[in-house]
Amino acid sequence: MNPIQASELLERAAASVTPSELDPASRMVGLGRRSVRRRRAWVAAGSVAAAVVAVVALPLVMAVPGRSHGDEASGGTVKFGGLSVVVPKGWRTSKVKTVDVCTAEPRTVYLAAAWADSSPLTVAPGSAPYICKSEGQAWMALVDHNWGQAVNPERLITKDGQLLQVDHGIKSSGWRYRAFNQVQATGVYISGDEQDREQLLKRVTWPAGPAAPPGGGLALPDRITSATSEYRGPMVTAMDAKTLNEIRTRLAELRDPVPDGEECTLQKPGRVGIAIDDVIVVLGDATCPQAISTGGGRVRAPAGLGKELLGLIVASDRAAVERKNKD
Amino acid sequence: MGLFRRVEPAGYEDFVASRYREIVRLGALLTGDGRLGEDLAQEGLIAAYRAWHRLGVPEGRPEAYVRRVMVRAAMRARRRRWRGEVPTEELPDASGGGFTDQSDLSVQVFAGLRRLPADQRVVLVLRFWADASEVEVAQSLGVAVGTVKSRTSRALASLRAMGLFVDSAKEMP
Repeated sequence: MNPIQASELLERAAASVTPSELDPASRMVGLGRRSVRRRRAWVAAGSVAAAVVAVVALPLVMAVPGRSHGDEASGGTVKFGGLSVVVPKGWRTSKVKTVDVCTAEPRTVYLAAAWADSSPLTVAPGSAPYICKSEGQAWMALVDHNWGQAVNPERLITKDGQLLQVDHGIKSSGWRYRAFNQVQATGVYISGDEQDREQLLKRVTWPAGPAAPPGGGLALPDRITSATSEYRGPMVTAMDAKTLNEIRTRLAELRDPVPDGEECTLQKPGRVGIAIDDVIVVLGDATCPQAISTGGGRVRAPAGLGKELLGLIVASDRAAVERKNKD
Repeated sequence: MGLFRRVEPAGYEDFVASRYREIVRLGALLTGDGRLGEDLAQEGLIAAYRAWHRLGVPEGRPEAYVRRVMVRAAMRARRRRWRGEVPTEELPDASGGGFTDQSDLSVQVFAGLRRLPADQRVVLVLRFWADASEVEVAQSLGVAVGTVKSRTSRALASLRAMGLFVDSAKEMP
């Protein structure tokens, strides 16, 4: 018998390993949060850490509601997770536990519980980058456990009256979409060239998002207990009453609604997302001087307001840490 | 509403969702055990979460960072005698032929990996699965290239002695 190469032996063994976590991203976020919390508590025990604990407790209670979404095909239309897709002629549908974005077959609509990327973790030094066989191919996947809602989405567009979070997928030919106003929402991964993606996106029907508040403006919580955003990577949180009142007042002053058809795309790098209790508000810069709330409403907004509010949150966050370090 | 789910560092969840399986597989090889490998992977990913502000950028190389954390953890486990906690199945008698004759080759490989000292196992995985050069392995472990060579040689010899017909073009005399 010929000897087996060591690399082949290890590769075969590795290929037999299947992780036990179905939704590792959520799991790791939870563990990561706890890790950060422990570290913060060690460095600056007290109110800052306690505040994080309080906010972390919230999703544990409220993110639980499950969704039931049987999938069904009727004629050329597939329904899955609240979305419906008109399947292109000559395409097939495939229901899978996990769709692998590296090996996905062209001209296929996947209905998947989860997604993964099986491309190699490493490549030999000096060798060419690994190219997945799905790269550049036209296909799409509706994914239950997906990439999650972001406070600072790469891009926000409006389709069928629904606000969609859009970002570039792991693969260069892939883009990902999900409803922005829902914590749990079915995601859509679309692969192909720009024309393919546009055509495929048109085939997806999304449930309508929340209407604007009856009184106009942005939907905001009556009372704000925290405002959280990102500043150069790490999360920053404001919890003091003065800052929160100012943020709420400034947002409540925005009353000029954006008429249908005049929505612009809120996108990187200028947009600022702020999680305010149970809603997210995103404000654009000069390229799109509008603001939206996941609770409903789209209004015109001063171009610099997002940065201004982010500055308030950063200042509040730093002041809280400094206070604790003095104690 | 899951407030914190929405304010994760940009890109972290994507990274985990897309790379988790491969990272767990690396962990499984580094520990010789699938379950411990997942623990090791999670240790690396938690570290990445904390460091994401500098990893979640185009030049951040989060996978390399996670791998480095996992390798260090696997080596620390050796010092903590973590190896002793790993279940050790009896290896079949090698005299009747190599494991390559058996359908459960992967089971035999993991059993063989568990029998290796952690420092040999880590070198073997980095050299032959992660495709790192001897110099790269030496740098990442903080040992001499000669040490990498000898550990590699001993690891391959051990696997051969266990009945795994291992050959490698990378093995140096």
